[in-house]
Amino acid sequence: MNLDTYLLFNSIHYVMKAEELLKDARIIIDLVPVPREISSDCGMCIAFSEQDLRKVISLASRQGFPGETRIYRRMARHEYQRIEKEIFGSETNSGTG
Amino acid sequence: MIYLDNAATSFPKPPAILAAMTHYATAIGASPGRSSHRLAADAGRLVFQAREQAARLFNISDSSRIIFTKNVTEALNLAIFGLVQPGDRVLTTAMEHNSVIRPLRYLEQEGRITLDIIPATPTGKPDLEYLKHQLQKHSFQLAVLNHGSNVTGNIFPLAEIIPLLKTEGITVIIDGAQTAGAIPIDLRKLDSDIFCFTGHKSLFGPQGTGGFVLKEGVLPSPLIRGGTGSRSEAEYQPEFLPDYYESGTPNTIGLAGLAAALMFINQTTVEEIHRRERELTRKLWQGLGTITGLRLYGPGADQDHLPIISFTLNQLTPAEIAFNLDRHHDIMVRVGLHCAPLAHKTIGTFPQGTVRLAPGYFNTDREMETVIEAIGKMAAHSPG
Repeated sequence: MNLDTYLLFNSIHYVMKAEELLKDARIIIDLVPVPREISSDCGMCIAFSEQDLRKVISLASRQGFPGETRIYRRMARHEYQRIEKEIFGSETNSGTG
Repeated sequence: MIYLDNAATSFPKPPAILAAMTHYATAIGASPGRSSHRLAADAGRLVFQAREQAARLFNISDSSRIIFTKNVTEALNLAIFGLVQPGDRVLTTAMEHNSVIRPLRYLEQEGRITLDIIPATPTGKPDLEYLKHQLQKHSFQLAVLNHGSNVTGNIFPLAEIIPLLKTEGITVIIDGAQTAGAIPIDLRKLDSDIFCFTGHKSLFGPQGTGGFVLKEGVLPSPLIRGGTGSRSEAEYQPEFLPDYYESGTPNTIGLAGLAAALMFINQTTVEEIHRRERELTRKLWQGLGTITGLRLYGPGADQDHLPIISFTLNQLTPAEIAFNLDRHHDIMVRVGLHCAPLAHKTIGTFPQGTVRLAPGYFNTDREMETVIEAIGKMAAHSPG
């Protein structure tokens, strides 16, 4: 399974919260370094398969993570596209943290 | 050996605490929230678990509102200095610990605040009539209140006091040093703005752990700023929780222990711990009450009470009693002013202080009998 979609939070606290939430829902995920092309953070983000995108978004929305939640799709080796806005819509999760 | 100094630091700890700390030290060891290798993730999970368990204990839903510090003194300093504005009028009580009184007296001395101290009765109960009178007379911005006395074991009637303060729009900081883990605390009901706790007393955690719980919308300035592992490109402190307040590598080994300790409490339940400690306290109170020349302080063990008893003996100083208990009976207690000179002035034991007996969940009934017997003998054989 290609884990080529990335879920990012501003704090490691929410990465851990999301990890627990998604694992409980039996979604296959991995904790990976945040790709440099996305952010200069020295932390981790959650990688998952795009086929689980709807489930991930539904769980994340229900949990209601405060601050900024971002989702990226890997397009090519060093190319990532931010996609959560097209999915979440404009009214949610657009805070700047 | 009978350890009765649990109000300073609880001992022994449940075995799971040491096991969790050993596991961290031998199998994990890394920084949480900094790097992205497996060990860093494991360390991050430990800190996260500590937060989740604390949120469960205090009945709040968002564990990012649990902020860790090295102890309750640091938490109280952050809360006080992070919220106070020049010119504020601040309320506190005559039963406070120096961790509250000293920061407030400093701010008063610097001319930054006006301080108003609510007196208490000789048994340690705050004077609510005085409080109501002051609330009518002045406009206050901040209140810093004890939840339970480390000298007399009184539990403060916060459910009665906080609504009075909230009606006046006053921000409320609570010192839960003695109550967190000792009595059930529901922060959704209590409605404090900042509740401060320490890990090493009734929460059974190691020293060097503590923190505070922020109510939603309350955002004091941080005490320190620095690396958080997040927003590394920014030269300004990120303002999201819990990172805003937690700069620098945390006490991960301590938090591993605290997480296990909180898990132990949540499984055992605070209700059960409180019930057991009340039994031990009542037994001590009743036994000591029969000793001639011995004076007990506080509201009496028939009241809801923390596992803390203060006493004096006519014939001996507190220091002599403690020395005798330690050397001849292998009983560890604390004497003196317990870092709370104001409380001792209130109950009339300043400057000599009292002997404080603070049993814990792991003490036995038999130990209480031994302690009563030892003190009884000392009273009978002391010089006149």
